[in-house]
Amino acid sequence: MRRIFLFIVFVSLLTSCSNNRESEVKLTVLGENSSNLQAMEALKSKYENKANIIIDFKPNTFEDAFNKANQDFSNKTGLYDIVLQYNFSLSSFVRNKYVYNLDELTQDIPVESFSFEADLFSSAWKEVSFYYKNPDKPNDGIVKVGYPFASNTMLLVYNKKMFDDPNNQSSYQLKYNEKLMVPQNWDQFYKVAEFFTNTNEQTKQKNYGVCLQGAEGGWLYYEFCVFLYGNGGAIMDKERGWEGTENTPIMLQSSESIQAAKYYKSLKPFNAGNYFTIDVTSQTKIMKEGTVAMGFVWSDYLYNFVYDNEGILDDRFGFAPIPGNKSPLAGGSFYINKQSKNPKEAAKYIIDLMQPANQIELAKKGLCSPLRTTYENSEVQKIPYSNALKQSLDRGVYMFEAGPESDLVSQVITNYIQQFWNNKLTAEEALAKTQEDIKSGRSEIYSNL
Amino acid sequence: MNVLKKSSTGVYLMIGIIITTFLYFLPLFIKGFSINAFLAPLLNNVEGFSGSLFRSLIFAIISSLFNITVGFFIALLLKHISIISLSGRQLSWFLLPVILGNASVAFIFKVSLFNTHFFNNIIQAGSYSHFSLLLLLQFWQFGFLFAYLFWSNFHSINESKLGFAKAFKLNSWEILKDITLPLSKNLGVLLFLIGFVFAFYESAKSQFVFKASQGTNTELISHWLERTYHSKLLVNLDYATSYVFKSSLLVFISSLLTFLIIGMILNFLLQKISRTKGTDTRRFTICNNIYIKRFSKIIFLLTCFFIILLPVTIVFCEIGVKFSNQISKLTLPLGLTLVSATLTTLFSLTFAIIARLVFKNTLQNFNSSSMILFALLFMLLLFPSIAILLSGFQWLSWLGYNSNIMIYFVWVSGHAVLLSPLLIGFLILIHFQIKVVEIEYISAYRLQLREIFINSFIKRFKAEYIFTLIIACSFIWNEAVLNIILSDRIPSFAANLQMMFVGRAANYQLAASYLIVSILLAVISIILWQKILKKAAVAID
Repeated sequence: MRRIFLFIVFVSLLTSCSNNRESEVKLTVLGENSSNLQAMEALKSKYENKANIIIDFKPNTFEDAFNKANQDFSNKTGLYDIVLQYNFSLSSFVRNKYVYNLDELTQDIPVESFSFEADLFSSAWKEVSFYYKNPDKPNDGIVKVGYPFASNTMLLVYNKKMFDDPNNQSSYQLKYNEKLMVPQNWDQFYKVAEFFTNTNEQTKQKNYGVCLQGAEGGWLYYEFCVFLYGNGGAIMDKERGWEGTENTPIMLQSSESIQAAKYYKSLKPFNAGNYFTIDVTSQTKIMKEGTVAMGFVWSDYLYNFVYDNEGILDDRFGFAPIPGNKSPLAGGSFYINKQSKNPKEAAKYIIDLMQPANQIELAKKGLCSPLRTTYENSEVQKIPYSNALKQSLDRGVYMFEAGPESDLVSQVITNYIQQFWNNKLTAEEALAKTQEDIKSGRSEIYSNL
Repeated sequence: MNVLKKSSTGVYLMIGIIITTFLYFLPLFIKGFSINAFLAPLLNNVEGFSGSLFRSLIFAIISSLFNITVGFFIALLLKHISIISLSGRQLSWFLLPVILGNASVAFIFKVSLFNTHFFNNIIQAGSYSHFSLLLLLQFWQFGFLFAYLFWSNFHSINESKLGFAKAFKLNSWEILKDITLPLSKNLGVLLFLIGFVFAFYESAKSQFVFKASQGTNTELISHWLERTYHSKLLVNLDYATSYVFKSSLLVFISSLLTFLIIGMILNFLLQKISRTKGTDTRRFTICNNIYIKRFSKIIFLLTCFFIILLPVTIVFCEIGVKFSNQISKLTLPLGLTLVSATLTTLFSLTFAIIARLVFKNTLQNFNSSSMILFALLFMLLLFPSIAILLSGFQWLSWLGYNSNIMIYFVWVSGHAVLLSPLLIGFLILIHFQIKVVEIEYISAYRLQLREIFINSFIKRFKAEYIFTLIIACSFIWNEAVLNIILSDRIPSFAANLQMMFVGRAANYQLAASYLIVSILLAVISIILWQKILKKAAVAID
């Protein structure tokens, strides 16, 4: 009798677990757990009530989200209706016909709902959400695939206390014969980094000019590209990250690229931390210790950088575009799975998220909005980095690879720049080897597309 | 019992192991495997494949030898602590690091070492210092478990042997080689094999704490495989899967061969040492010496302090705790973990008992035949976790994700498949204690299978089986392959903790709250184990 009772309890438990409100429309959203995704999740109930659907967010680590998206698309399991992925996935998703072109799904939506398009940062949009009309014939032109869920860039974060200190200002004036200010060009950046690298004689505390990200996993690569392009160098000769063919010229052995690499390494004496394990999380942790003057930080890390768990602002830091006249563009798009059971509902939800009023709400919760007018809102302007972010996105250009060879490029650059940093290779040797490896790896990749 | 007499039963067991392993990887074989491209990664040294493989093999050999050697010597220092004493029971805190699991251990050391002069100097000094520190962290996680197992094994020394040693006033070397080493040989070999597997595929600590990379000559094979998979995934999944699977097969073959060769060498050496004549003439009494007992207790206190207080204090002082509202969602995986661990332990137990009865001569100790059986058993563990992950995804795409019941079934049975080789290995080692004559006696008397199970095994090794269950719970709870595949349906502790200390949503205070859960579960397991020991002690008294 007791066994029968236990069996009934067990079966009822399993049945209750499997009862998942099949009758309602449900959108499952997969993405990397970030301030962007958290902002969308925080506002989902408003749309759920309006559209009478369920939205189920599935935040994952970057690697898991990337892997799960590819598994789901390729195996046609239709687990996720909307996937938020970065620009390097664009080429693969479109070429393999994993995702809808958003225009295929939005015919029923009123035209006025698309007025936000004029408000998008144009270059940022083209960098993450456009692709070749026909991937086999790149000359046939490009087409809109979707909309960006976020527009990311890197900002210069500086320690306000160090810059505002009158003693520092006068000492800097004396040493360099110019005013101490947040660097606007790369010469100033070097001088400021050099100036702030010292040991306080009284406290024996060591201060540093910069904190660079030298860890593998893309951290080194993305930051190095900022130095490379900022100083006139380049990886490839093209307009956008996702563009290119097997024969796109590689520019790493140009004199500008070599000079840029040398400039990058010249900052080694002023660098805090051990370089090789420093990713953005470690970098921000070191900067918060208050002994580092400057660092380049990803914009989608800044919300959690300036606000703590209770929403209290840490006002010790200032934000500016990186030195020079251009900033990098990154970010990602909403992708609708071709196996989705509710693709039109998914498209409607995306269009709703793109509306200016919603973008303002999302930005207040941490989204790096792809809409220009979001940053004009008075509440958004109170976020300390919003002006610097807007300026950066306005002047943003391609600096990061996003084609099918993008991960290869990232890995090869990380490998040789780490060796260059460790004095095992010269700048010329490191970049020559990088160029060679990219060339051979790229031909293998393109031959398997 | 007849079934156990047939030699075919043993063959079926072996075939079962091979088929299970093959079946698990069936999707990857189907995805396309061409022999012509098979050796390409090795022969062309594709993006550092050979270097990473060689580095992993060397690290795994050194780490596993270091763990068993140091673990053995710590156990020797502690051997005067009685297993039924209060200190003996408290020694079970040695299990804490291994129960905490990979993600928690990586988080503890990431926070503890972060931006310290010590750590920065280690990283900048190059790959040798990097691996030396990794060796110590690996020891912290596994070495104390090994020490604990050696120590508890010492207490199974036959009283008559101790009497003999006392009567003949054997010196320390003679006691070591004639009593302690022969007794620890089998355990030593098994722990070497387990240590080898975990070190060979070490990933969490080297990735999250050290950021191992090709450029610093610190990349291990697990990182190489993951890195390559991600890179190839930008072409398409089939290309990435097929490329990684070919490389995984090469890695598997290399690790299997090393596993067998080193295991046999170690077995041979331990046998050789225990047959060597002693030269040390110092006299040593088997000691009830009060100073040696005190020395043991001091060592015990120091090691416990090192294990428990140091990292935990550093973590909580350093970052504080903020409780995540996601923690309550972990009740479902906790329940499923208990179900899966129980079923896996029961299955492993049945398998190990039948194997002991069927292979009565082979499985009485480690020898070249049993080593092959262990290698077969460990085949699944010797495959890279990325191959296990990819195959898991493929299986789920075939089985479908529509029904929650199916998902729970896959989760529970998947864990059983992945964990049972380790548990069976451990249980087979425990069953080495059953002598061949006992099995012959059982056969002669034609006892019922149920009677054999209960009287010859379960009653005799109850404590060891409960210990196995605790380890099973810990491994399933902290597992980072199947848990991650299904983390969107069944929340995963490892995936959640990882998300809190790496990536864009990193929040160390929330991560610390997950660590508290992990520590709490480990403490509960240890207290439960101590209660069982106390009960056993009362029974002995």
